[in-house]
Amino acid sequence: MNQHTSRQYEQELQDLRERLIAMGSTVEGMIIQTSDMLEHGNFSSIEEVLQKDPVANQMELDIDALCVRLLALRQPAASDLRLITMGLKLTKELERIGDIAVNIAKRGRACNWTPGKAVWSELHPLIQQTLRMIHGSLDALSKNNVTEAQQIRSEDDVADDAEKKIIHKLIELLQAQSMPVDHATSLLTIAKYYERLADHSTNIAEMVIYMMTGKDVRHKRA
Amino acid sequence: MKTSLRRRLSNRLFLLATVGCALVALIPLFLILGRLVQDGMQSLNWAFLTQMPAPVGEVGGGMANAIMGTGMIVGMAMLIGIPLGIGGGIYLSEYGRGQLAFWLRYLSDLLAGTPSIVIGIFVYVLIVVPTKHFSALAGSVALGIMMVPTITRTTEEMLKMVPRDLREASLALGISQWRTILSIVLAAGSSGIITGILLSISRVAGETAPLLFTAFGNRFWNTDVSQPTAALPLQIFAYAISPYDDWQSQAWAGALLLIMLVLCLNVTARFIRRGH
Amino acid sequence: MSHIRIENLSVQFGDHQALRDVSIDVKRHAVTAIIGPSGCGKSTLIRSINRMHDTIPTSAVSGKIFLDGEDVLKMSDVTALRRRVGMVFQRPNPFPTMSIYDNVAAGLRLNGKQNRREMEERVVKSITQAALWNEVKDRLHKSPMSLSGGQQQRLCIARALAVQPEVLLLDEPCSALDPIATARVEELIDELKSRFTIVMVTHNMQQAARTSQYTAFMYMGQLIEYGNTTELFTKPKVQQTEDYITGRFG
Repeated sequence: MNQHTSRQYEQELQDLRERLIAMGSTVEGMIIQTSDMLEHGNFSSIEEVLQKDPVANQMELDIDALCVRLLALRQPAASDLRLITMGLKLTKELERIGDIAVNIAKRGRACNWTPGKAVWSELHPLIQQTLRMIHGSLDALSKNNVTEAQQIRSEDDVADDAEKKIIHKLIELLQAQSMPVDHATSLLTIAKYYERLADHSTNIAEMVIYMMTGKDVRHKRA
Repeated sequence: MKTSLRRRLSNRLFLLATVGCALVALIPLFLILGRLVQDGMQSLNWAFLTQMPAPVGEVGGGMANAIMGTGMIVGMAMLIGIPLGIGGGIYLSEYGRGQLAFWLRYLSDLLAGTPSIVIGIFVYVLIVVPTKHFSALAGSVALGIMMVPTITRTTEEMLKMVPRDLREASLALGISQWRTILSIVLAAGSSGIITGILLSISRVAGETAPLLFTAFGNRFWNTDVSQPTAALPLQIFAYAISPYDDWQSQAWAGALLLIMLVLCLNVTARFIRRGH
Repeated sequence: MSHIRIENLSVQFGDHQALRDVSIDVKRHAVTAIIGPSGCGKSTLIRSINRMHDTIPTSAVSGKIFLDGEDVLKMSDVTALRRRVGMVFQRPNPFPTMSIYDNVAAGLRLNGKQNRREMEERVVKSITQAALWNEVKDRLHKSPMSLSGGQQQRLCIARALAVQPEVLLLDEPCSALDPIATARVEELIDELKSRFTIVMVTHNMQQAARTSQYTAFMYMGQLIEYGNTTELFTKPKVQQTEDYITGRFG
């Protein structure tokens, strides 16, 4: 694509792209760390995740302010307009991912989480699937890769199925009274969180598709 | 420091020289005006304007017939010169392209530079000889011809100055081209064209040479355009070369009247231009 | 439904090819904006529709321009065409020697319409349609040169409306106006589109985006992209359009 006639504008748009990617990698870092703590049942590094939350929030505020300023001053059109409006919506999605990472970590620590073999074997695939989707959608964002975004979008069902399996498993365990109820509800909540994270990465993938092609694929079958 | 002083000095000197030249150039004009007022005022009175020339040897009388004659001749010259001049100007500005326009413009310039006596002789051959009469009409034709190039040129210049936007605005309303030219373009350039007409009138009103062979002059009251007719410049000429003091004095008065007329036209022309 | 249908239009001025094979369908009772960099042929395109190029001897126009199915370029009476297709120019150009009233009446009067009552009705209606009535009703017989630029431009629109055209061609109608005057003219254009087919050339992309329903982007005498204004400004199909509307040009 050609350079903008206004170099300052070009610079600002580049700045916006870089900030979005930076925020993406911050919240991705948070959820990776949280998932790691879950896997090992060790929450000693939770402070690191908690400290990153206000950083991510500040990034959201800064990016939103930049987008509003660009809208007001530059009257963007076409791909620039799509980048900036999606910028405003992406921060929302990314901020949610950060929040959820914090919530999972807090929930895990509060219930003295130790992953029992039986449950972990169900939860592990969901976590991996979700992490893969988050990484894929952010990668598509940073590389402007529509194919990758479409791929992520089509994987949403996989996460949904994984969540359903866990619910069935938990019901089974509860009926057999082989698991305490409070433990089960925590597990249920965490599974729900991961499924929600997968939804957010699907949203990000859809935004990447709109940014790149102008096609709005939301609420349509992948 | 030294060069700067010298530069300023030479600058000052040159300014003085140019102002001096301008003043010297104006001196004759003031001398003429002064002399005219001084000598002309004596005889410029009501009788001069309203009475016929007195017979030789009698004191008094006026130039009423010449004033009337000049009015008649110039009036008819306007009827000939203005339509032709404006028409030519419109052609050159609105339609004129290629060879025809080039030659028309060239001939018009040539005509503007033609000595007035040559035009007089031309009209003499053209009208006076075939009709076997000197006449006011012949004088008007000669003056009318002289008016054409000035009016053509000013009309062309003025119409060319009318912005293209205005023509297009009119054409875009579905107004035909000839109506556009007459109602919109000519109207927009009218003040300049009127100025041009006034200047051309003031120029021909004082012409003597082309009238010598055409209107000829007449000591009597005449309103018949086919008859020889008096005109101010002719009468001035005749009286000025006469041996009689009284006639010479009347020639001064005539000259003063003529120059006042020309001055009035010029001032009016300037005024219209400024007002626009 | 299309009102004006242009097919393979090319225009040449001497050696200069100003328009190259342009085809476009202009929709009835809508605003169509034509955008593009200076010298891209946008003015040339709309001036073809009312045959203003007829006044330029070196111009050569080929192709077809159908106005309700009739080929404009084959019409024998240009003045009749121009009464159907009105035009407003870049700079306000009221007739300076005429009063405000006479300016609006000019198109009727000089076309030979003389009934005084009818003419007066038409003049008042046109000035009202041009949203100028309240500002000039007390000085109808004064010179239009005392009006502001924006008022003069609305007077020119009233003058064009008085002839009762079907189509209004606007050639950068706001480029000489300040933002408030521009906003009023845009407001007016929006009102007029229910009764007239409007084709507007503008170098102001925001103006095209604000006022038009369809936009055509032209570059170097060619039509690059034409379509729904919202689509064109959010997701243009052609890279050149994208570059132009986002300001990446040169």
